[in-house]
Amino acid sequence: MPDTDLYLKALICSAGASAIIALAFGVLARTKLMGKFRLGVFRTVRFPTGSLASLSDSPGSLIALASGISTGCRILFPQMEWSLTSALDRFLWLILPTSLLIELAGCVPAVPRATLWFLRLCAAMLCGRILLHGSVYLASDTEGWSFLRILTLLLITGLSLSLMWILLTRLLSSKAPATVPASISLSILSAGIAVALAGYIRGGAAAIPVGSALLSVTTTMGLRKIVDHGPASTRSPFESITGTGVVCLFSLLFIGKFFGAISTTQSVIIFFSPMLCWLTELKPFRRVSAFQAALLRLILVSIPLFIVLWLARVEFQERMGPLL
Amino acid sequence: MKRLCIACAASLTIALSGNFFASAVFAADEYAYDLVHSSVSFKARHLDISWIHGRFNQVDGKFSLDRQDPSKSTFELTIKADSVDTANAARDEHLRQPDYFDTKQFPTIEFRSTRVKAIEGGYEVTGKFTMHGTTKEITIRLMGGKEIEVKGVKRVGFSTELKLKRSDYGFDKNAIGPIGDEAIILIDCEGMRKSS
Repeated sequence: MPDTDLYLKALICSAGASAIIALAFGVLARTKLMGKFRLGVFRTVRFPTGSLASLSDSPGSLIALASGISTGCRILFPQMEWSLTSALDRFLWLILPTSLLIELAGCVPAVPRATLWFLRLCAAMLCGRILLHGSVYLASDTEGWSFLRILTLLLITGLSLSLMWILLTRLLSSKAPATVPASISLSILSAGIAVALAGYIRGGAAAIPVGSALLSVTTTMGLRKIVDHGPASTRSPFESITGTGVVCLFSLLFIGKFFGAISTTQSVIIFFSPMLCWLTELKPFRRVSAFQAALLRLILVSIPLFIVLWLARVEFQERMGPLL
Repeated sequence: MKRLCIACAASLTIALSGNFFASAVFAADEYAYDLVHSSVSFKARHLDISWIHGRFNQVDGKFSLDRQDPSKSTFELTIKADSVDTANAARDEHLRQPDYFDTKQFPTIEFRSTRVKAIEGGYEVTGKFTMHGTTKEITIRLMGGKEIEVKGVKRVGFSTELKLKRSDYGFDKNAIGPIGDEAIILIDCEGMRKSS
């Protein structure tokens, strides 16, 4: 039975934990202590000018994100143990940490950008296969899907994830970059609601810590950027969390579709809704201010999400209402 | 050479006839699960005021009975979790999802016996019960075992009832709300084999 108080507690605590850690990294970044720490850790690494600030931003945001998610998951799933048996376990214990580690590796200036993207694309292409592991879809008996069908599915989903990752990362170089991870977090929270309304409560609940931590880190980083007048970084501080966010969104919807009962249409709309942020890059919107662009993006992304959730609620009341 | 051939033929005849008598007298009789005359059903509390009844429509299994040495008997049962039927399509769909049976990840519920001993009126069977990816050792009391022959087919029937806690098998505790944690499973099975 969904426990709304528990979900609210998880949402607040994961957002709070993420915000506190992201702020702590921000404070440390402005002190000499952090500078010494950074030089201590990366003494042997030769990195280009301007990357010092990003060293505290990107890893800080990733650590804040991981802390928020783990805090929320501890509240939601107190009996959670290391296991890879279910798709949700594989997402929380394997895909999410791997994604965070890849992004952390990308924070080390010695790691070439091509290597980082190679790792990201490998993760994107393997994500679906990992989630389907051991399921009836891959069964060797007559009930399993054919090799060709599985290959087509994994190629389409892997390429969609890769394309989305590349295009949203590219959008970070435009004005109002914080709206990109913010849009992803809105999609993640919507995915959670849609998956839960389709009948997979635990799968939907897992989106709460992920979405709220991502939104919290994005907001904190955005505020820090305004206060600090922007870090002297060569890359957007939102790039790492955007990557992890896209992987989380994909995984939650993939689980909801292939293990839960969320429809393909709902999954596709929720997954691609952050891409609507690109609309502000069209000619008529190019002259709008950063604030207006941010507002426009969030509204554009929210519209399809709202429609999908409203339809999911109607369907839930028709289908599941009599059971309650 | 002729003596050698006779010796070989004689030993082969003795060996084959020995095997025949051994199988006819001492070996366990193997029975196939008769789906038409068997059922695996369950019931669980709803809001702790009433019972919800359901059944699994696709079950397969086999058992072998050694009446001389019951410890050599074996029992196997495989239930297709996807075939859950509670007479409500929406609820069945919900039960197939990962909060309950997670049928895409764990398509079968299985029982494999490891120890069998005869008791009055049946057998006490200990074995590994796997549900929702979790395996636990359980002991069930299979009552029955009387064999009858109808139209050249020998039939044996057993029935048992067991209680299981869903939380013991990795079901999400948050999903254990209106439907109680404990489920009572009722197995009535009929095995059949052709008369030799």
